[in-house]
Amino acid sequence: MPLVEASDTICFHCGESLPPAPWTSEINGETQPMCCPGCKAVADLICASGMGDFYRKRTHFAETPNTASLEDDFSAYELRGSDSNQIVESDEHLDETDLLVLGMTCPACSWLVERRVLHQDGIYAARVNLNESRLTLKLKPGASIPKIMRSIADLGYQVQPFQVSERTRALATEHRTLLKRLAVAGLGMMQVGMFAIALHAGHIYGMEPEYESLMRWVSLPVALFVTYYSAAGFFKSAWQHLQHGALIMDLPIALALGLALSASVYATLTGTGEVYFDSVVMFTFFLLVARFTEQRGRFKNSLVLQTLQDAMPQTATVINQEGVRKVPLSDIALGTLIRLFKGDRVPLDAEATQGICEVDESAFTGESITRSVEVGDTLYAGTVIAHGTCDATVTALPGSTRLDALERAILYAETAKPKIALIADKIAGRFVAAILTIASATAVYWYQHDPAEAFWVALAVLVVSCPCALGLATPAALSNAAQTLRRQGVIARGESAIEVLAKVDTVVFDKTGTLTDGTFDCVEIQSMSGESEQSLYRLACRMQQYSNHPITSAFQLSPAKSYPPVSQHIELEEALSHPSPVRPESVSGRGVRLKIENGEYRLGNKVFIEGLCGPQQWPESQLHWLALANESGVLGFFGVKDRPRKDAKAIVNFFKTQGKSIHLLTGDSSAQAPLLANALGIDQVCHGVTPEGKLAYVEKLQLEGATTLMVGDGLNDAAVLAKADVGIAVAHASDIAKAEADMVIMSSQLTALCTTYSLAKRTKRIIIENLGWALCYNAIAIPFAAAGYVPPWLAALGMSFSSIIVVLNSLRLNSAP
Amino acid sequence: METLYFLIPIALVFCVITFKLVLWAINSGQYDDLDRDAQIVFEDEFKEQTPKSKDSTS
Repeated sequence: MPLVEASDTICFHCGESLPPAPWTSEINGETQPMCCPGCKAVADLICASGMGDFYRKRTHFAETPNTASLEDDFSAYELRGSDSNQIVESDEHLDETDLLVLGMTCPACSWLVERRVLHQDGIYAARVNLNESRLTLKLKPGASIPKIMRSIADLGYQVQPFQVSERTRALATEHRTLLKRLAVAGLGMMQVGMFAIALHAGHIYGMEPEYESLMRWVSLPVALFVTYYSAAGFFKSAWQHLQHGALIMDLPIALALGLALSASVYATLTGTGEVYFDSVVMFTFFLLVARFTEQRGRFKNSLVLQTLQDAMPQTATVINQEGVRKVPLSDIALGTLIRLFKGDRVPLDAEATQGICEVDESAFTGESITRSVEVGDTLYAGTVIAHGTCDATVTALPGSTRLDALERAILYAETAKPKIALIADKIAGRFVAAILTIASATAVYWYQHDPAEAFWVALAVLVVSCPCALGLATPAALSNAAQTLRRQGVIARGESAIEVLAKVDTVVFDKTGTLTDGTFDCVEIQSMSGESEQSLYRLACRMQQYSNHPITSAFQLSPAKSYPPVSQHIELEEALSHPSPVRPESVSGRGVRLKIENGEYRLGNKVFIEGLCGPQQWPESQLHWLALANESGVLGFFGVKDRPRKDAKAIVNFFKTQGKSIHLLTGDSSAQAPLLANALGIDQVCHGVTPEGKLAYVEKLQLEGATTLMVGDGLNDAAVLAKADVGIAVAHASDIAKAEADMVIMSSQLTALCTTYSLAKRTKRIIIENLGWALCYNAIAIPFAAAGYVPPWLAALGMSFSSIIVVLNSLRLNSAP
Repeated sequence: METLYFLIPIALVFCVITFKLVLWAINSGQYDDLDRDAQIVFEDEFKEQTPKSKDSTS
């Protein structure tokens, strides 16, 4: 069960790899490493409030707390708190409200959140629904919603008011309906099974007809109720598909259920023949178990989609004559002046009119280096202000923003997804046709030779050939595979993806966030001032220590190495080494600078550096270059590149040995992509593509006949994840990417891809074995039944037996590979 | 053996009661979150120590 294996190399709180100089926290009496100040703050809080037991009980690592959410201001919700749809007055004169708490990964998290909230003032009761990430609170008068939200955010979870989407509500209803059907079928199965044992025993040891009839008559109402209540779905879907001319697996299932039930009812009424009530009910139960498992997986994943809808802000800060205030998006017109603060998600497309800020557009481009926005540049809805504040005029309203265009592309991709014919569906049509032909032929033949026996022989053919085994062959294997995957931290949405995955011949990777983890390495240093490279690096690290730009990950001092002090520029060294009032300051989109008494030092990009010391000769190799400079010139250049994930190479090699063709598809337009592809051994690279371009690329591959697997993480990958035959979103993927993907890898290990693929192949083999067995059994049993050698009770036993073999064979998938 | 005519209908009555109970339980939302309730039985094992420091937000 526990996926949590603490070690010295990963963060004790979130399981991320540690920086060279990790933070530490004391947890349950032991000192544990932490990867970032955020994790440390959360861990310290948990322990300080006496809930350290959380770390013993959890089964998953917590999510890395997002610095922005740790600083969120929830005061706006005080106003919304009085809104009638936010707080419902419940019976006991207590107010009730629901919050959406994101990042709860295991039951220990729900315990933590509940306890934490109960410590706040004014809480009467708190209850977490982990499935829905929902916290239901009963509030006493005077409770402060912003304070409560703050207290949850302090634990590193993201929190917002809970809004139920139509889709989630529908899925929740479906969950209940299926569970009720399953429960009824299960209880019915026990009841009818009891009577059936008496009947079977009666066949062997003899039974008075009076009691046999009694057993039949009491089984009848139970079986009828179960069929009516639990199996109705199969009949409905079979009929709906038949109307469109499609023969699906539900058809033989409905046919078998219908015929076996009708024959049993007829036999009971007339006191002749044989009854199959137990088989009917048992078959219904097994099929529902498979469907229920599948639905649960889907339900869990759908909640992820809801997350994104909720994450979009519903208000904007508007500046007008009356001052600065928050206004609902629906009241905003084109040309309205809005103000955006650090950490805000941009609510609408807008053009900057004042101020400089830096925007995190990783959602669109997948690029983790932020873009600097100046007056006249456009800000896109859905992106996040990473630094600075700016005013902007609205250029697009909800419904016509860039984000909406992207969502429409996703919608298109979803509907245009190529339908890969699944094995069972292909066989179903032919199988139904064949069985019906054989059964009618048998009936006709026997009618001519022995009319009294014709009906029972034909029925034996239908029952013995009952497609139970065939019907269960695929779902039983797939639901077991999905469970195994879930235990390994991979969630499959709709199990057909597992079957399709086994057929994939082309693998397309996204770059940033998928093959790389969004961090950087400094791989080349060119000294221009006679300083040693190591000491320059040390200066650069010191300059960057107060910046939280992604590029700083390239400047981390390793405790294992020694860095000689500089020989010149001692004033800089001194200013950096002492705790002094002079601190390097970040300049949005440029770099960092440090002003000291007799000058200024800058570390940053080309524009920034040349603004200080005039045009320079920059190195030409294909890296992202930064320079450290003062007024008199450049001290040194630093070449930075994306750091591939540790297991990226292993993954690429794995798929290569499987004979797949591998592509790299990235929104990054720099020369980094080919470099990375080269390092990992990927031949086909397509870089600098828009989300629509990615979609077109995969579409083209599909037109050429490839079955594609797309692995990605960003919002810019969402459409292509939906379009590809199988889309897999990796850990820390954007929410919408997770929602569009067929599978989501929850663990931070990319190697889960290999196990998933191997399991998919194993699943396919098991499905083929199951189908082979079912067909084999039919090939032997049908001729005997048609010849009249199989008494109906034996036919019923054979049918149950063949199903059990299939179920047992599928259970083999439950063992880890 | 005549007693079967009496006992089996009684069994069926209990069966109907069980059906009703289960459907009521599901409808009232008791089975909406299967993950958490699977673990809630362990909740007593969570030990809450007395907070070491006074929490500023509470």
